[in-house]
Amino acid sequence: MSHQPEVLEMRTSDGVLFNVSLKLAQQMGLTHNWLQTEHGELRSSDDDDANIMPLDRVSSEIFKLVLSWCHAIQGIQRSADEKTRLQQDRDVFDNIIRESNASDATIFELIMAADYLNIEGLLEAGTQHVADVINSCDSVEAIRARFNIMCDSEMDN
Amino acid sequence: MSLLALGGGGGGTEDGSSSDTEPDALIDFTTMLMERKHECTGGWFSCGSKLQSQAHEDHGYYLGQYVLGVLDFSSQYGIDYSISYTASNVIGRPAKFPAYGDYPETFTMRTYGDWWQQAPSATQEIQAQNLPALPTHDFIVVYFEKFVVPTEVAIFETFNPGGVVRIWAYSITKRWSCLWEATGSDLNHVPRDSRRFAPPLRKTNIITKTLRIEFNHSRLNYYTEIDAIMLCGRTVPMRCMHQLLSPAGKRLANTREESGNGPISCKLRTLKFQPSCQGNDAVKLHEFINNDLSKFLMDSRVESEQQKNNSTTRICLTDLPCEILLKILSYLDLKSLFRMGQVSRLFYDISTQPLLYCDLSLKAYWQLADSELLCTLARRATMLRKLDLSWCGGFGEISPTEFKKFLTQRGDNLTHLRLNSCKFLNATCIETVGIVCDNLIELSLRNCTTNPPLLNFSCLANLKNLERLDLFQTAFESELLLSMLESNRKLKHLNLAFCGVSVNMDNVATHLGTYNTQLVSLDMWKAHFLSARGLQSLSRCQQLEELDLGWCMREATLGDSLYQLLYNCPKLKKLFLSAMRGITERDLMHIATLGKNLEQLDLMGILNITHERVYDILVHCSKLKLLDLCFCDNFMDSDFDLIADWSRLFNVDIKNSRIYNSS
Repeated sequence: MSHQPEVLEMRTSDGVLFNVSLKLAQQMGLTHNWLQTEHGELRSSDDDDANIMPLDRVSSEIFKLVLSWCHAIQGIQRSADEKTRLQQDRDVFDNIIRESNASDATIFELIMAADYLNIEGLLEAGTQHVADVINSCDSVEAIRARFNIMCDSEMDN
Repeated sequence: MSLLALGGGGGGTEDGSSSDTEPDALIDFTTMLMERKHECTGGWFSCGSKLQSQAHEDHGYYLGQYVLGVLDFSSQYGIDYSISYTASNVIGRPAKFPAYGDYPETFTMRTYGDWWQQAPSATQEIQAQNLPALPTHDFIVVYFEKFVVPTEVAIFETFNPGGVVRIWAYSITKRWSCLWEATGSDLNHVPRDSRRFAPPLRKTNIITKTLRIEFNHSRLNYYTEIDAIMLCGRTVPMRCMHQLLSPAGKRLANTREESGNGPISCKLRTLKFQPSCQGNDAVKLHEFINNDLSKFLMDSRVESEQQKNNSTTRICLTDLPCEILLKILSYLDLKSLFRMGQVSRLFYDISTQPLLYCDLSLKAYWQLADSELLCTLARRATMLRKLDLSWCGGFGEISPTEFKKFLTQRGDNLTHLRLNSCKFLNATCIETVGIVCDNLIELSLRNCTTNPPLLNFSCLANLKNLERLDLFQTAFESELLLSMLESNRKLKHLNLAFCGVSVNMDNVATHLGTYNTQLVSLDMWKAHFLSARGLQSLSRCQQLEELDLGWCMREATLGDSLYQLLYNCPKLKKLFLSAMRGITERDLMHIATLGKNLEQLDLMGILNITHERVYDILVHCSKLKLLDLCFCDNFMDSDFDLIADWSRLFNVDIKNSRIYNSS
């Protein structure tokens, strides 16, 4: 007899608690594991703490952005065509980036969070976004400047 | 007269978008003129064979010239020995311009719109991220009589203008330069009238007499037709030409090229830097990550911390785990990937990972691809599965030896190989394909017409897993094809368009009906010697979804072979019966009753078609999207109005010869 809550409690690395609807949480591959193992049995004790899913590698700031992406994706009509779906993921991602005025660092953290939480659509969107930025750079110097990458002395002939 | 006759040497690489001044700009015409005046008194005999006044030869003069000959083209509507709708029609003065209409005296390509991409035989592009926003569907390479510094290129379009997307010129320094590229807005709202299309060219000083025009058909309503191409520019005095073509001149031009800043040439130079270990790339990367990466990051971070302003976290691109960086790099086009490899040692290691070179296409970089690049790629592409070298090496940049070496090293796991319009291929290259690439599922050798045919004897007999074989506009020996059909029972897609008079299609059809019953698409456009018997054999391929018999059977009577075909192949979605004059009214009725899944139907030139039959087809073929009724001369004027109404009613794109009204 398993008790499936409608809301999943998740706690980020900085201790902030989030109540995430189950439907939305299921977009995250990481929760499947958690729900299967941790919530398979009714907890005998009323230890609420054990029912909270820890997200040790995601900060609250980033998690908020992840949630808004998941929420937006939930709200739109999902196309049957894979290519259109990918475009939808990208569009939502671009919107969020723009609205929150996200810096490069935030985008990278978002990508890593998507990887950790196992949200494929978000990971694709984020990595493609960075790829587009690289594609738009006209030269090696432009890439280095854009991402603040140090030049190895051996690379210059 | 062609550039191919001029001897070897040189040939650095450059991307088309680099600076305005080309090496040829080194030639200072003024200085030359001054020298000339001082030096020679002999006058104009030394100016070459033309008896022109000295003044003319010294300064060069402006001229406009029409095409002298065609070097290559990716496709044409007509067949080579004909004068209708073939590439050679672009030679010389315009025949029809300024008239507007569908004239056989023009150059027409095989496809239009997106219909071929929607057909069952459509393929996916390999490494699609390399393609520009307006990809090239077709091209033609033409040459003119005189070398000029181009000031204008005019393309005379006499039917459905708006297909031209790029104009390239081949300079005497053996480099291609893009003179013009279309943006999206150039292709919108092109008025349906004949036009002399002369877009504004990039300012340039190159000297050329060879042009390559590239087309994109996506927005075209129907076939686009080109009547003539004109190259206008300023001629170069003979003495300047000799200087440029002399060894000294070439060296001068080439030194400039070597200092070119194109990403590929930079990459070539930096490749002198190589980590010393010989082991495989994965181990190298592993070791680097374990031993050096953290130190490297710390080193770079110390400096970057000082530069950082206001970011709350320190994370930067290089902090992402390698698998994620690999994922990001996998979306880059090949040029950006090479660029990335020069950014830092870490990115060099990641960008050379074999996983990024499973799908490799140099088609979008045809103007840059050369033997050296192949050699570099051979080092990285240890897991190569799909390779597209279409359009590359057209002017000797790739040697057959290098290609064979590449294939021998990396071709044994290839599943898809596309070598369309590869002029460097010779018989031994094809043999190598046959020997090395026995895992091939797809082989595309479009536009490889040589005499004697490249595909002869049993050079490809080793291939037994083919599902797709594309020999569009390629000559081959019948015996070879027949034996290949016998060996490749899983064949699904076969393209034999324009295979020529030496192939007896009845025999091919019989073989297909016996050995290749899994066939899904078959293109026999302009094939010869197909009769009712052959058509009947094809009805044994019951999985057929696409069949192109355009211009095949001509006057021949069909008997009930078409009925048999339609009855046995209910999955047919695309059926092209252009100019099959043997089609009777009964056949048309059968099409209506049996063609339940038809989406594209070409009945061009069917003489006895009436509007009642058209209505029949429209009513019964509910999935129909395209219906070509051009040159169906049986229609009366009043019929056209009806048909236009039906087109709207049934939501079918109907092509007809009454083009003066927009549909």
